[in-house]
Amino acid sequence: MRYLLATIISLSALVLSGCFGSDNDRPRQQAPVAINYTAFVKAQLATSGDTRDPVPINDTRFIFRDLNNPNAYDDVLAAEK
Amino acid sequence: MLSRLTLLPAACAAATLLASAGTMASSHREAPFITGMPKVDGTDFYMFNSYESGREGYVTLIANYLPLQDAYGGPNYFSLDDDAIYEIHIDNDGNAEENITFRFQFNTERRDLAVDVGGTSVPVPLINIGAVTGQNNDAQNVLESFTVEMVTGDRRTGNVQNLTKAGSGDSSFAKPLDNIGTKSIDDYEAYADNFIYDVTIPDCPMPGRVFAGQRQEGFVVNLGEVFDLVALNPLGARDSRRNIIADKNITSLALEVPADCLTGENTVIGGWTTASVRQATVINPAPQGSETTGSSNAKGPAVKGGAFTQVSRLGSPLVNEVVIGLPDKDRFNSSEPKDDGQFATYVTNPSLPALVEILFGVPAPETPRNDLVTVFLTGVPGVTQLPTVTASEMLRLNTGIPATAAGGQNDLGVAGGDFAGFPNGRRPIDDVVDIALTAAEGFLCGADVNGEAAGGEIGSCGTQEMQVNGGAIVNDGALPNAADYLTRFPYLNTPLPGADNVAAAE
Repeated sequence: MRYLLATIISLSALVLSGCFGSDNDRPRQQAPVAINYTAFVKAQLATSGDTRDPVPINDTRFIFRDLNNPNAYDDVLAAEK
Repeated sequence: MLSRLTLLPAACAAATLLASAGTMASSHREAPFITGMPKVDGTDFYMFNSYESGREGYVTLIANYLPLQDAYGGPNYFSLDDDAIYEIHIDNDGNAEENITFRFQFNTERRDLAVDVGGTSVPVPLINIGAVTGQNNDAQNVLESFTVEMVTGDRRTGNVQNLTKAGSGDSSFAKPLDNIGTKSIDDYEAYADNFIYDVTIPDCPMPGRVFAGQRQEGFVVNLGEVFDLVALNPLGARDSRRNIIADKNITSLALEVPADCLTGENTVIGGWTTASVRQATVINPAPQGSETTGSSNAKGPAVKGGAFTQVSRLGSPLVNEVVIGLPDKDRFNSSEPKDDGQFATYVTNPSLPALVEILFGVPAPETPRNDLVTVFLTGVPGVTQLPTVTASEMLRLNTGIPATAAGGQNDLGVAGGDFAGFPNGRRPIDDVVDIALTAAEGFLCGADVNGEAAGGEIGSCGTQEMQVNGGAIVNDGALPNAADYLTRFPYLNTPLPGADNVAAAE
């Protein structure tokens, strides 16, 4: 489930950034990618392989939808069963 | 390989100071972001040919972390970060990328020792509840251990193999308890010796040694006055002031490796240390506790995940401290040597001499500072420069230059005619503050170390092709004392005790 979530978020980010187009076909998209910060964090928590590089964030515009939601991370903080 | 005979005349002629371009507090709390993460704040990096008797042919690497420890800092003292990786990188072909990485990872075990209170077992608040020795740690409530992996190739995607205890194959090493005080650990030096391990290093025919634990701070600096607008007499006696951090401890990751297992086709290697943490963190509002609070199954105080992301970097001393400008310090800590071209302006046009000119009226050497580019980014031809080199900041060591015995070392390193010292690597005794201050003020301009290049291989300062400012030894007034260091691995001194109860009782 965690990896599915990560994959969905990663794919969403790619779609938003227009990365499936050819760089040779059109000018590079300048608008920053908009990503839900909570989803981004959960995606990182789900993919902690030691061989990965960090995710660049300078071209990412984070949307903070959970600033007033104390339960936003309940699923990742749930007690071990 | 250069012989000592080749080098010594140059030392007498030029007394060349081959230094990084800055000064002051090596790398303690040097960048805004890292001040909030002391457990992964690299403070000093040492790399030298081992000078312990009988250890010829070995190189010692020491990466220090967790700055300015007051020995009495209980009850938790100074554990390292289990969720971080601490790395020492070696470039042995001059391309500014690591060929070998030694990766330290720590693990903290909590025993949850409890005492009976009125028939109820209650967890104690301390990390030890009795005396601890190297042979008996039953009273120790918190234990740290670590592994060391050797990565060949890229630090993230290269081939990973474990260092193991020689003869046993065990890859887990224990870290000693910090020096809480003499009642907890009555002979800390003897206690800590139990945690020096002979190790089998992958692809290396000879064993090495490893130690990770608390040491007395080995860096020497007149820290407070230096940062108070250089409120000292920089041309006064080298011992006119005091080493203000002499009462601090530090945590050292020390590794001794046969030189032949580090070098490539040349005897020169470059080294630097980094620390990395997971990219994402979620703070847990209800962290794990004990059965007492019914929370033993909860997660820890923070849940971390994502790729390891570098937050600290240190090669030559003092670079990020006073060479890199404030807006770029965090960026430097996250950078890799292969990308150092972005920081070149800080070397060619250093701000420190300009500040000294403002404060003291001492004319800054002309720019561009080609002298500092040589010693800072490429190494000195014939000494610490590989045949092909990508300009990059790291500590460079010629393993072919024999170590100087402990009793004969000169704390000005190459500047004092001791070619086994900084900036040919760096030893604990090397007074890098004085060396760097002197270099920044133009001691090196146009210097000729060994005739490797016409007109001097160090390089000019703008149009100035000779030493400027009279070749004065500029200093901070704090002088290293050889008695404050060990003459054997791990070389940095036994840490100061948090309490000296035995002495107090006498």
